[in-house]
Amino acid sequence: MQPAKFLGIGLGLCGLFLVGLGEVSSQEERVPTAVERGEYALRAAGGCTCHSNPNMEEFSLSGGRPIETPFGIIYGTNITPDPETGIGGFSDDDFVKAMREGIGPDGKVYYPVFPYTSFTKMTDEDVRDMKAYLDSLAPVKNENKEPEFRFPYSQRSTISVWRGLHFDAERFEPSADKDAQWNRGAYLSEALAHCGECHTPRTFMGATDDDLYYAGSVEGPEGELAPNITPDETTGIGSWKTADITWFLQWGLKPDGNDTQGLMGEIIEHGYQQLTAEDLEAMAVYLESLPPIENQVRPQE
Amino acid sequence: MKSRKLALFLVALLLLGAGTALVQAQGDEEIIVYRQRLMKGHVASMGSIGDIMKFKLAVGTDHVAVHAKNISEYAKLIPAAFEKDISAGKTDAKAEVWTNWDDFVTKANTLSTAAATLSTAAAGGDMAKVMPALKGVGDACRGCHNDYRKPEEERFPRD
Repeated sequence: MQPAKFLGIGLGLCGLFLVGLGEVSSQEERVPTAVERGEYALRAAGGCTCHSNPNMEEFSLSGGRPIETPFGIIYGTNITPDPETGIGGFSDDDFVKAMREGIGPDGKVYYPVFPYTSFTKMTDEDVRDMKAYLDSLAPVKNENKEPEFRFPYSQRSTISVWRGLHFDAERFEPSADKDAQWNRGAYLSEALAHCGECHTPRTFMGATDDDLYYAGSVEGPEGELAPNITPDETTGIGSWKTADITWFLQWGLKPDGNDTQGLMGEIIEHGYQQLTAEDLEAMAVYLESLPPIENQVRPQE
Repeated sequence: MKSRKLALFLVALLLLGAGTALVQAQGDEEIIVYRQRLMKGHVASMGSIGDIMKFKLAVGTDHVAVHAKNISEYAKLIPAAFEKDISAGKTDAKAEVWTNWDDFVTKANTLSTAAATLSTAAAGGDMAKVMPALKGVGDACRGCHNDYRKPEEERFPRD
């Protein structure tokens, strides 16, 4: 499928989203602006709450949030357009390089806690739109804090070793033998929502163990349990219907009525909750198509 | 002789204390079970609401209104059910329930109000009001659980 057609579907869906908001009457055919599309992409990425500021009452992407990893603590960076402490000084190309290659304008190599391993798959348009949205936010002054990683991980040169083994900068390629809905769901899950970054267990080197793709991890992000979301009947979500998945992604409510808390609850609230019904269904269809993997992920006794 | 009597007295005291602790522990277990049943009651109603909305069951918003009212009423029972400080044993309640008691009670009240709002919206049958009200209930569940229920990796495995 041509990328342009793919993009067209994305734009059309954005339009549906805005209709849902009641901001655009079904009579008008207003094309969403880059800022609106960029906000939508950010929501699809889970709301980027890793970049939230824990010291502000109001939600802000001005950074400072401590993120625990097996290698130490890293602090989310300021992605408001403040020119000194945020990304206000980034050109569009700088931003694309950061998202796609994990390299900052000063040549700094980012720790892959920032999931550029997934964002690398985003379309050029989505990346640039996201920047347009971030540029539209109020700039907030908040200095970034350096990570507190144990030696040798504190040396950024170790990232290059890791990248050599585990990182390929690549675009998402739609599958010709799958339909538009599946491809949309695959793109959303792989490139934006980055489900695999949390729901795939990691090796001792911190890379995703692709033999257990989406099969869950009892020690997931920040030590939180990330369930098996492959369609395995007994250990995954194979018993869930499509509507159960979309309902969950929208409300954080499981089929039995229980809610999800912690990180997943947060990214639903700040992110997926605001996606269109069509996009949520596309993600569900994609998840349902994954190979079922038996992997029991339960709390420790 | 005196020291022997004293020793016997102390042993008796110890046994009495241990016995009391045992009785107390048995009472605590029952309270934990009740708290969990109460929470399961909420979950059953929430699941029912989900089924009706997801699968567009013919029973419709009339039933949603009743299930939401159930949640609203159950939520009023939460403070009393959790009044006794029991964070040891097979419970998913965090100790913060009792160190932040006022906030815990406030959050239970928030849930009760949000569920009542959903009930009213559902009774009116206006989907435009039902969806934000549903969000309000989900947010209330999560808002309390984030602070007062252990994260999934620390919970006791259940059937």
